[in-house]
Amino acid sequence: MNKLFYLIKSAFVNIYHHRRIAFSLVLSLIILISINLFLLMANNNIQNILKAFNKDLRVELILKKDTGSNAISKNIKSIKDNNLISVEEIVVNDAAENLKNFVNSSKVIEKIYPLLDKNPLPPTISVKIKFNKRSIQNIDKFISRVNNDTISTIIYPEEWFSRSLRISVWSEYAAYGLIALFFILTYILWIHIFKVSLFSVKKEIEIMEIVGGTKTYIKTPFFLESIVYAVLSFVISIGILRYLYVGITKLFDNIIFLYPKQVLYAFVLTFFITLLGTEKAIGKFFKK
Amino acid sequence: MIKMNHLYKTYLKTWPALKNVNLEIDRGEFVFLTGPSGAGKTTFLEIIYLEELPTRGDLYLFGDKIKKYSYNKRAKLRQKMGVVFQNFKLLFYKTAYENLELAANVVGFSPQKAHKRILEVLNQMRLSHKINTPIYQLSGGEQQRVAIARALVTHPDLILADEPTGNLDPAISKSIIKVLEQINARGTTIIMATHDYDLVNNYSYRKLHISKGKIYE
Repeated sequence: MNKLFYLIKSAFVNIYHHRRIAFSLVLSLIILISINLFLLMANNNIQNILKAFNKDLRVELILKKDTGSNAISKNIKSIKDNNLISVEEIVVNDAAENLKNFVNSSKVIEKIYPLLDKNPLPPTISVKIKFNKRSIQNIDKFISRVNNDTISTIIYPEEWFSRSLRISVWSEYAAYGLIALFFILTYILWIHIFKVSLFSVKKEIEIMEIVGGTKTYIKTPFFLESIVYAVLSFVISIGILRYLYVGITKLFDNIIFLYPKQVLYAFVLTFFITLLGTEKAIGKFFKK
Repeated sequence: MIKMNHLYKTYLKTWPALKNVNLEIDRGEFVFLTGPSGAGKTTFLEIIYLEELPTRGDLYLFGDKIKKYSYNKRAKLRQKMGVVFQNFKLLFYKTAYENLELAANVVGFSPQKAHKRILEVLNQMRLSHKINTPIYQLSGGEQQRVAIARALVTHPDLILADEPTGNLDPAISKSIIKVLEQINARGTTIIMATHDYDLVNNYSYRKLHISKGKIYE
């Protein structure tokens, strides 16, 4: 308990001694973390825009003309039970319903419709798909799985599906690639600036080694110090991004912020990067 | 307390700092280690306080054979020793009290115990009036006494002094040795390295001479 108290006290003494360099350290961290969080938010919004564009994404199954209700039920069950895509809604129209919709679609057709001696239209199943990467990636597999001899044609916007997938995947690659790059930059920058701050206590570390300080004992105040900087930088970065978000939402609707899970992951990552960077920086000051 | 059998220390694979050292130092001894600069005195002390590990041979400290110990195990052993250097190795902008507090905290003394012990050793070193004086305001002799006090604060069984009088004038040097003698009289083993033969010749303690890495009685 005494040791812990002393280590915490030492951490705050270090913060006070390093206050000038700590300012640069925290400022650089804020810039890098803010960029990362902004990239994460940008990716969220690209995915959101794609979702909005694809909110009426459907696969139309045109059944054979004389398909009975049993066969239709079987098809619906196979669609519902699939584990390839996320289905939002299934709409079944029998032949009569389709004819009614067809007739109501135009005045001309309404006039010539009595000339037909029988209904030429087949029943259909319309599958509304939830837009997500899994659904788009698996759409071809889904179609070949549901296809059977009761279905005459399957219509879906194949080109649109693959384009959406490409945009979604590349947006994620670009965002996470840049985030990884900035986190590596954060790590390198942290090591170097923290090392500079440690030069002022180099002699203290040497003396602690001489008087029998264990590595854990010597390092702990510096780890505590870096945790304070990391938490401070992260909180300020989130604040900046939130402020920016509020500003953007005044100009554009439907902008989404970060998800709580993302904030948590980003925080954990920042925390570990700073600890690893601190460990690397202090390591240079130990003889063996 | 310290035993060395066929101990060698070689730097850069070819440069021998210590050659076939065989010796034993008992608890409570006062030993002078003399030799010219570069003879290996500091290496000898560094081996004892485990700053360096022997290249070959056996080293026994406090009855235990020292193998390739982890850093933390070596640190724990160092807590049983006090080390005094020619250049004091003190934190110059901290007070005498704060310098000693650093050592007391490393070994886990409670604040009350640390305070009591710091006052005790500073009193023993006749530095009670300088307790809150920053080190840079102290004379060379006083700084060295603070360094000795720091070495003493953790109740060590062994004190290693590497040229503790190297930067001091003869009168102050004698007073420093007197302080070390008083510590030795309480049962603490002292090993003091020096190149000042005139100073050593005034005392009848055991003398080891080191030359080109070899130790002679």
